[in-house]
Amino acid sequence: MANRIIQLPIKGYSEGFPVGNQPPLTTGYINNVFPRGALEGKIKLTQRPGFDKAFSQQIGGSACPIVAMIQMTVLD
Amino acid sequence: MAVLYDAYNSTAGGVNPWAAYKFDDNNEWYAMVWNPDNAYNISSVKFLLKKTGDPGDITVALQATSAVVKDALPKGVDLVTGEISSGQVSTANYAWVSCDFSSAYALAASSSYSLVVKATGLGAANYYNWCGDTGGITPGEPSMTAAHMAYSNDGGSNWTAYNSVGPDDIDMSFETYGAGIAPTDKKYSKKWFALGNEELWYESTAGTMAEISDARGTISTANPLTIAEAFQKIFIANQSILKVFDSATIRLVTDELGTGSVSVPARKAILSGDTSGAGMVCDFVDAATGSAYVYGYQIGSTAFVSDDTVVDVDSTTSVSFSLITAPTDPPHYYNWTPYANDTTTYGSMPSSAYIVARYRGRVVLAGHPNYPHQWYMSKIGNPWDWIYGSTDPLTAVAGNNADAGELGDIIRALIPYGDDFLVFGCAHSIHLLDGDPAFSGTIDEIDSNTGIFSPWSWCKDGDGNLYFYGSNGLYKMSGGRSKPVNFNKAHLPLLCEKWAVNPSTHRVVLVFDIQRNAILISKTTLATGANEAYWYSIETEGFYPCSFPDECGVFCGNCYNADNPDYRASLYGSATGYINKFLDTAKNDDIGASDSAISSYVAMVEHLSDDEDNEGKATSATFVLAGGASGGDFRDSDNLICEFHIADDAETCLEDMRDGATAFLTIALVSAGRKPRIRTKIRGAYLGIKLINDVVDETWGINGIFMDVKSVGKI
Repeated sequence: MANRIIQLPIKGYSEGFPVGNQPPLTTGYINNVFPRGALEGKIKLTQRPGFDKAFSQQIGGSACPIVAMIQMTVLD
Repeated sequence: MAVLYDAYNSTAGGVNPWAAYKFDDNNEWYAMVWNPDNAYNISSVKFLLKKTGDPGDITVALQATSAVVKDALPKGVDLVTGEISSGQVSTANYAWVSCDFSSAYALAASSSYSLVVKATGLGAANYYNWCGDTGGITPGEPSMTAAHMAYSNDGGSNWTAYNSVGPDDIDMSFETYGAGIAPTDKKYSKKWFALGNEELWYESTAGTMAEISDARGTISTANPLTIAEAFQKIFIANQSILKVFDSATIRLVTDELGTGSVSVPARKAILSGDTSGAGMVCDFVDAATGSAYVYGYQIGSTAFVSDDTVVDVDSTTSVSFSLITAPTDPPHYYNWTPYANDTTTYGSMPSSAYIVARYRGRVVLAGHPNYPHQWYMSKIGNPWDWIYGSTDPLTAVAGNNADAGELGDIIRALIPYGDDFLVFGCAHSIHLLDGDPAFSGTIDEIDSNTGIFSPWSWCKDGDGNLYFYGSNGLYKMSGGRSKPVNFNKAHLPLLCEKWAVNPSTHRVVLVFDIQRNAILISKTTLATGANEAYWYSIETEGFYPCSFPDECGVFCGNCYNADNPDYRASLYGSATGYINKFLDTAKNDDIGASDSAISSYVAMVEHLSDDEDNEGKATSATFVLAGGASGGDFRDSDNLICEFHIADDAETCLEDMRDGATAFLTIALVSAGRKPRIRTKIRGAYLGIKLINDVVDETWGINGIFMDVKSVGKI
């Protein structure tokens, strides 16, 4: 009979305390994990969603950083 | 369900009852001309009909007419058609017979239309009778202006309107049915705008970015710059380069300003073209003499033409100039200068600035290298007026001529809160401007212990709280007004030491994720895109370390509240020119030409005994991966590698997992749902469980881990 439920570190990363006294629901070793499941939106440990292109066009036409972006509202 | 809209369906109260109008020849066409009072989508009509014999089917055609006048006749082009089968029409009695059009058609209010009725198989013994009035009936006439019957005896080539007074004033029985036209609430569009590699791009159509070719090479994206939106324009502050991207005005070209007695049109003057009759509200002129562009908001839909002489409708001014070419539609890109570049009348802009914002209808600049404590604000509602010190309460204002005063610290960020207050993020302090600086506004120092790292190192959450990366880590200002409070020290005590950021080599960007109620805090190396990041969940108040491929290194970000929900997201400007977003269904990171696997892991350290001197023994472990049964509604987890580590103390256990020590046991957890119980016995003081996935096209989620544990002997 399972008598121990392992507490998943749903509150993410913490390195401010001794490992033996880790704040509840935290861990000292985690990467690319989010606290909310994709699509259903439930609180659970899941791999983070990936980056995807919002627009297919490459700003600047080559591999140079995008330095500024903003939303603009215009009259129809 | 279709609703009755227009009708002439009763002669009650009239002098004469219905009369029957017979059409017994295939070339005899009748039409009822009318104009709807309201706009609606017409879907069907009814007529009061009877037949004799066995004529062919009736075709009903909706056509436009020439004008809303009594002489209007069918234009001859079918807008939409429908059929009445012969079987629908009775030989015994007159009855209302329905005809459905092949599709609904949007009628415009007060426009004139005709319902043309014709049939086949007609002859002396096979014909239809369509009821109409006998002419001259009042009341009972259709109330629609200029409604009347039209008749053709040559198959629609020629028509006669029966619209005269007396016997020739005839209207046919009819009813129209349809549905209202849904209201159009949308009056504005949201567009996205991005800068990179000395180029400006904007969302020309939904979901597609296009370059503004005029801007290429005019901006130095290697130098600091920020942008702000105001008045349907983007204002760009790029040190000595100050530019405007204008999405709203039309542009006229002339070379007559300042010649003879021709005056420069005043801002907001109403200008009119003498040939076209077009009008516009003048917004900006880029020169006072010689060749000049005149920008303005077009009034109505009539366009200026190249033959126009443009005058101010206020005849007391001497504004009158000819156009060189036809006007140019928006967008436009031009230098940001005082109005007409007239510094005498409209003041001088700062010669250099790289921080720009909008506050209380003013465009605000800061970041002059020689005057780093100084701030400058344009006149309210006028980004071209920089004449300071006027008695006008709307006047332009700057720190050295306002009661609010110049700041004593180097300004690094301007963070407006609507029309309420403006936060100045400085190198070692935070200040807050309350109200309008030209009218009793005051600047107070909120904090003297922390500054802000850069113009990109802040964001606001959905509740208006301000977050920024400052001198000693991450800070939150509730409501944007309260004293900054550090929120990383408890969990990330060495954040600043480990990140060791330098403005010359790193960019720290904070972006609020509007969909997930979280903040991405990213440190990116300017030269390479190499990065470290934390995801801060506002809900759990937890930090989640992230790593992205160099190609995805975040250089800027912002929330895009697009009209189309498909494009609504927080967007991130990457190191390689792509605008990225987090996509829930993406299992990899898109790095341009290919995808990169996401390396994810999490570790837990479990004390197996209640006694620090004792070991414990785990006799079974059960993992439940997300997704329920394979397939189904819930998203299925892919595979996970699970490592078990044992140590006598917690820190050694965690260290082993971090250092990649050989595990006591490694198990593959395959696919979604509850996994078979692991019955390997594991004895130790501390048990480490490490879950790992670094496989391309895979993701995972976990619902729970259950174990059977008991205390055993001494360590």
